[in-house]
Amino acid sequence: MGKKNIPYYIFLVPAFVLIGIFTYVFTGLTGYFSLLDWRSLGQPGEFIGLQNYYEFINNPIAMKALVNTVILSSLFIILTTVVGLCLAILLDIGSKAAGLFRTIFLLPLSFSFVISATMWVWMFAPNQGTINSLLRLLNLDFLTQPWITSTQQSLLCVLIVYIWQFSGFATLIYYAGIRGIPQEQLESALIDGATTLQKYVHVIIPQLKGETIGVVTILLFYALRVFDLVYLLTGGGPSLSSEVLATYMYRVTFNQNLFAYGASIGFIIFLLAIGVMVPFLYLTSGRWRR
Amino acid sequence: MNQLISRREALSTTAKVALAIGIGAAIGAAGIGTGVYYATLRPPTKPEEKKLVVYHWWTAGGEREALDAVYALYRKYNPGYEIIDNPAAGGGGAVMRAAVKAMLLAGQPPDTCQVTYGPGMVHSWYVYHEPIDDLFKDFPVPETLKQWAKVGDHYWLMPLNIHRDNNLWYNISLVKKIGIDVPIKSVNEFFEACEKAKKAGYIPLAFGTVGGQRFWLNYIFECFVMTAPHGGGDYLNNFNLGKAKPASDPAVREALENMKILWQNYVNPDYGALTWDEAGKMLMRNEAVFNIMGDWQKGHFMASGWKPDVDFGWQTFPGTEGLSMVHGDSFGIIKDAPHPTAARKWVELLKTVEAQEAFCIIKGASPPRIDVPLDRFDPMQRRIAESIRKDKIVIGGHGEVEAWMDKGGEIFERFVTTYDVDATIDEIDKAYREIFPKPLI
Repeated sequence: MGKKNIPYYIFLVPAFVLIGIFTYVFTGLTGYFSLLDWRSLGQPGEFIGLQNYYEFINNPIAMKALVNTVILSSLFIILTTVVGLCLAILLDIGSKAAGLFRTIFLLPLSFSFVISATMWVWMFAPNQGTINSLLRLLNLDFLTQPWITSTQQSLLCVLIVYIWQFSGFATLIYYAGIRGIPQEQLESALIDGATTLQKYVHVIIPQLKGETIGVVTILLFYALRVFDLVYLLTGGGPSLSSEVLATYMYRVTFNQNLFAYGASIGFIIFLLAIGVMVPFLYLTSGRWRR
Repeated sequence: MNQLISRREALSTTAKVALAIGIGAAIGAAGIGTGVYYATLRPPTKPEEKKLVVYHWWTAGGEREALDAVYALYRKYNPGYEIIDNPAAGGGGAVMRAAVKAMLLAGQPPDTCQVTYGPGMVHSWYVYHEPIDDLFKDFPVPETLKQWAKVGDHYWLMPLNIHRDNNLWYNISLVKKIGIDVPIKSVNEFFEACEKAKKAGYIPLAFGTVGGQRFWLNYIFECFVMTAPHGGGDYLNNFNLGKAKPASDPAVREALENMKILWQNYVNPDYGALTWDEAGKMLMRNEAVFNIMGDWQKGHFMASGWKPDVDFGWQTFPGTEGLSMVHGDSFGIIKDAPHPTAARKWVELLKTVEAQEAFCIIKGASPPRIDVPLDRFDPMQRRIAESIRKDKIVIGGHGEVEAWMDKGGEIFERFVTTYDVDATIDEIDKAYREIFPKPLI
């Protein structure tokens, strides 16, 4: 740090102060509250150490929410990335109507979660819902499902909606990446006799590493804090089959007034995010442009 | 040459540093100045702004208009006052409660907010309110209801309306077509009626719990607790005050057994995808015969064009004659409210016959005051209001302790998929002991 850089650091101070207070200080406060006995509206109670974390580990609902969060996040990231890549390739192959389809694929991302959730609840409703009604219309009654009313299918329904909402974003990033590959390389591959499949597998996809890291990073940010769609679609039910950590935290904090326990869940989500994001960013940093 | 450039650089850097320090100092001075002004120089007697900041969750058809009628009265009697209206719909008030709790914890309270009126909720929320003891003098409401506002030696919240929760709504044309005699007098008769409806090809009971509204299942449990051989109104009151022993009380098992019969045989299987009003629509579409819900279902039916005593009928939940399980809605003066005078005027208004009548007629609720004339209410609402005035009042529905409402809903939602009575009793007992380390009263 030379003297020359001092002004730049001075100008960074406001940003550091604001981020420091509104991100790190409050995260620290949440960590502190998670060590208290705070079980009603009103002032925090006494210091109880790690008791709330012990309760979390020994609570089967909390463990179910943790497992559901891991399953939902993992499948969401993997499937959204794959679907996004496939759609981008399809757009690239049939590029005449690419503009129209790109808009169609990207449209769900512009919907608010509330609108998406309401729409999908209507679609998933077993009796009057669009999906089952369409299946019945096509005489495919045997394919109708209980969807969000089933303890076996509710998490799957949430996953479908998340993929639907975010795959357009992945598509856009991948499509931009594909279009950015120099035309000479693709022409060389064709001259060498590569088929379309070979062109994508051996030339295009290996060059989309940066895009993949970008897509996965952003999806990770969303995945670890899934709340909106789960809360609005199923409320974590039925029978807690789709409960995730964020909905569980909201419920125990604001419906059951267990503020300290809620803070401990929030802190666990924070630690999970750190545990996933830091190694990921460390491993991928510097390789972005290689 | 190099030295010259270094000097220039040095001068330039010094100028930048000086500028940055200057800007920083100016901002700091402005901040400190503002802080000092607000902390010390601001006159403590600054006149209170004529504003009332209200938080509530009344946004649906009927309830919005009902609140507007009370707002109109407030403006009429308090000219110059501006109402800052903050509706937060959803979750039977859970969304608003979460928002206001965050504000309270952050030390940024509104002037007044909707609080469900029942001992459970009042015990949760009174800590953030100012006592309003003087307003409870000469306040003609049933004594039980009056006591719900009291924690310790003080009264904290002013009830504006009362809802009856143990209701059975039915489709009149279907009941006649199937040959079901109403009113139904007992749980056994109710199950027989459900069986008839099922055999006739209809869904006996329409219900909805989508979007986390699993707390409606508490209503069903409570209806069955009231009708249980070892249950009843007094038992349910004790249960909701934290005085029960769920692990050994036979009423809990009896209620769960009946709930199991109902759910296994007579409820629409897609209840998890419907809201309470969508479940009501199943009656309107002649798909279902019965619905159990608070009396706001009547408001919903009427807003959708269905006529009381013509298209739909009402009776108390079978076997609960003489018992009115109720909760209400109330407002108080929040501690450190920015506009306490405006809040006080608001609560004073809610106490009046005029406000309670104006609100309840439109909302389809009953007035807590027993001197509100009922002649302007429709005949069905009049019967409901009269039942509340003469029946034994029972704590239930949204009047429960907030934590139990959520936890109970969670447990009952699991129960109606597993039907494991023993495991559910264990779960109830464990949760109950955590939520009620000691009785509320």
